[in-house]
Amino acid sequence: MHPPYPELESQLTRAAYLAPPGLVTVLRLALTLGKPLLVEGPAGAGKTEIARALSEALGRPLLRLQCYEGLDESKALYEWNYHKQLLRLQADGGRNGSWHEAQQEIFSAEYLLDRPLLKALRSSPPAVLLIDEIDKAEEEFEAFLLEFLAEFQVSIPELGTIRAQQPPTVILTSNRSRELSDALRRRCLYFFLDFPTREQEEAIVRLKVPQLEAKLGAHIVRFVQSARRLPLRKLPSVAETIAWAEALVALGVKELNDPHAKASITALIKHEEDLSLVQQRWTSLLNSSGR
Amino acid sequence: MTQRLFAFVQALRSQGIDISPAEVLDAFRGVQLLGVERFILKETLAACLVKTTEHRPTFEALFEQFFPLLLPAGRPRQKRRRQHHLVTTGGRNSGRRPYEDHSMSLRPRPSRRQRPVQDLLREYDRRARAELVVPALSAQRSNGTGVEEPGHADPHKQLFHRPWTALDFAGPEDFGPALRKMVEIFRRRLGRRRKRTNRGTLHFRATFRKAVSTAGLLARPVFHRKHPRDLNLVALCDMSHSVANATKFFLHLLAAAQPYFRRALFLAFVDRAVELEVGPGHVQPLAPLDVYARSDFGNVLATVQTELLRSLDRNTLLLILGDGRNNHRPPRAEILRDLRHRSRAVLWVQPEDPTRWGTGDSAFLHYAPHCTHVVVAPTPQELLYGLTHALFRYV
Repeated sequence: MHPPYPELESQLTRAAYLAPPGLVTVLRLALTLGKPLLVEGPAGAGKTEIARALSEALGRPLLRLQCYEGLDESKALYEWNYHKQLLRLQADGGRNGSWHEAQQEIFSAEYLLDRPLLKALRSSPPAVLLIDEIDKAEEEFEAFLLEFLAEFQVSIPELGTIRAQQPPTVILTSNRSRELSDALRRRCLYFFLDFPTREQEEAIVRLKVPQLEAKLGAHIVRFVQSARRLPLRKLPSVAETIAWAEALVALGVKELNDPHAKASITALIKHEEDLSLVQQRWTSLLNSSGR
Repeated sequence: MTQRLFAFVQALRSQGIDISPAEVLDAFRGVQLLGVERFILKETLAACLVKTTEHRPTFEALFEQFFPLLLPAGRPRQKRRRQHHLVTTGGRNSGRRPYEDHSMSLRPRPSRRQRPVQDLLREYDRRARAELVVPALSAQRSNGTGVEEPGHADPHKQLFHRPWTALDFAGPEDFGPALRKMVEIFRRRLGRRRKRTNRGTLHFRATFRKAVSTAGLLARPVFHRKHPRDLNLVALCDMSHSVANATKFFLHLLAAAQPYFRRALFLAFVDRAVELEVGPGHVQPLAPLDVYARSDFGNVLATVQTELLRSLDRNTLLLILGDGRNNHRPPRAEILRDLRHRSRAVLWVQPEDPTRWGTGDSAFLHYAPHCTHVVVAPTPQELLYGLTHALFRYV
C-alpha cells in the first residue's frame, strides 16, 4: 500500500518550504485523517509558513484567521449585512408582503457575510484554513472553536447547521504565550516546530536567497545560531536570518567582517539591549561563524 | 503490533500523560495509513498521543523501549533472547508482558519505574547542575514502603519517618508535639553551627591572658570572632493541598531559623504569591489566598521577579518549597535562572519522591537545573536533615 500524499515533501519544497523531519508525516496524517494540526514553537520558526506552503503545494485556497484579544464569532464566522438588510427594508417601504416574508428574506444566505471559518466550510475545493496565534484569542473563543474543529460544522440560528461538504485542512499555530486547553489539544494533531538545525537553516537561506554566495550564507547561519545561544530578549527567527541575508546581498557585502554587515545587524536583532549585547560579542560571534 | 501499541499507550498513561480513547483511535488509524517504518511510526504516534512538549522526553524514552531499533542481523539468537529476558522479566520471573513480541529484540533498558531511586538520583545529578541534598536516604527509602522504621519507641520520631501523604491519610494527626520536637532539634543544630562558624583564628594574647587564671595552663583557648555575615532570606512556600503538610513543617522550621538572617520575607503561593507573617507558633497570610486554585509556579516566579527585583541581591538566599506541579502551565524556568544569578543561592525543597519528578504535570525537571541545591524531602525527617544541611552553608 502506498502512503497517502507520497509527493508531499517535494511539493512543499517546490513551494519554497523545506519541511523539518517529521513535519511531512504529520501533515500527511492531518490530510488523511481530516484532523486539525496544532503547531507550537518559538516565534519566527516558520509555523505560519506551513499553511502557506501547504496551500500552494496542494493548489488549495488559503484562508487565514488572525487571532487577537477580543476576537469573537462575528469576526471569525459570519455577520449579517445590516446595511443591505436596512436598504432592503427601506426599498420595500412596507408595501409588499408581510413582516414574516420580509424577515425570511433578509435573514437568508444573500445577506450573510462569510468570515474565514464559514468561508472554509463552504469552500470548494477544500481550503487550507490557518488559525494563526490561537494563544492570543480568549478562552471563550477557543471553546467556540471546539465544535468547528471536531465536526466541521457551525450552527447559525436563522439558517440552521452548515456542514462542510469537503472539510478544510486546519492549521492552528501558537507561540505558547498562554497554555491552550486540553479539550482543544485533544481535537488536534500536534507538532512542535523548533528553530532549524544549522544544515536546515543553510538550506533554507540558499532556497530563499539564491543570489547569496554559499560561503557567506553558511557564515550568516553560523553567526545566527551562535547569537541564539546568547541570553537575548528575542531570539532571531528564520525570517530575520533571511532578511539579514537579503540586506547583505543588497549592500553588496561579501564577508561578515565588512563594516556594512555590522551596520545592517538591525535586520536580525530588534531590541536595543539585544543589539548592544550582540555588538559587544561581535568578535566572538564572527569567530564562531568562521567569517 | 496492536498489543504493543495498547501497552505503549498504557505506559504513557502510567507516566501521567492523559490520552483519550479518541486519540488512541487516531493513532491506530494513523499507523494503519502511514505504516510502521520506525521514524514515521514515531512521528505518527507523537502527533496523535503527545500534545505538549513537556511530555515529549517521556514519549521518546518509552518509544525506545517499546519500539527499539532491530539489532544487526547475524547476532546469535541465544544472545538476543537473553537480552529480551533481562528486560521483560527484570531477571526475577519469567511471566510475559502484554507487549512481548519475539519477532523483535529489545534493548536491556529498564523502565523508569523499575530503576532504583539511587540510580535516578545519580542520573539527575549528572544532568542537573544543582547539588542534591539527600541526607537521609535510609533503608526505609530503599524498601519503598516509607513507613516508620522499627526500633523508634518515641511516637513523635515515628511520625518523622512517615511520607507526607501518609500523614495526610492518617486522619487528623496532631503534629504539635512532633513539630515542637523537630523545631527544637533544628534550632539546636543551627545554633551549634553558628557557634562553630563564628569561631575565627586563635587569639594568642587572650588565650595567654586567660591562662594566668589556670596557673599558666592553656586550658581554654580563645578565638577571634568572625564578622557576622547574615544574609537576607526570601522564602516561597507552596500552599496547595498536595504539599500542605510539608509546608506546615517547613514554615515552622524557618520561623526558628529567622534569627540567623538579617531580614526574612515569607511568601505563600498557589497561583499567585501573598506575603506571610511567620512567627514562633503562628503563620498568618496578609492577604486572601485561594488554596484550591491551580498552582502556577511560572506566574509566581514572574511576580517575584517584578516585585522583589530590587531586594534580591547577592546577599539574599532564595528558598522555595514546592512540588513543581504546574498544571501544564508554562514553567517559565528562565525566570528562576535569572533569580539564581541575582541571589546568593536558590534552594529548592522538594517534598516529592524523585521517582515522581517530571511525571504528569510536574515541571520540576525544568526548574531543578537552575537551583543551587535541591533538598529531597519526602518525609519530615528528610526535611529536617536536608534543610539543616543546606542551611549550614549559609548561616
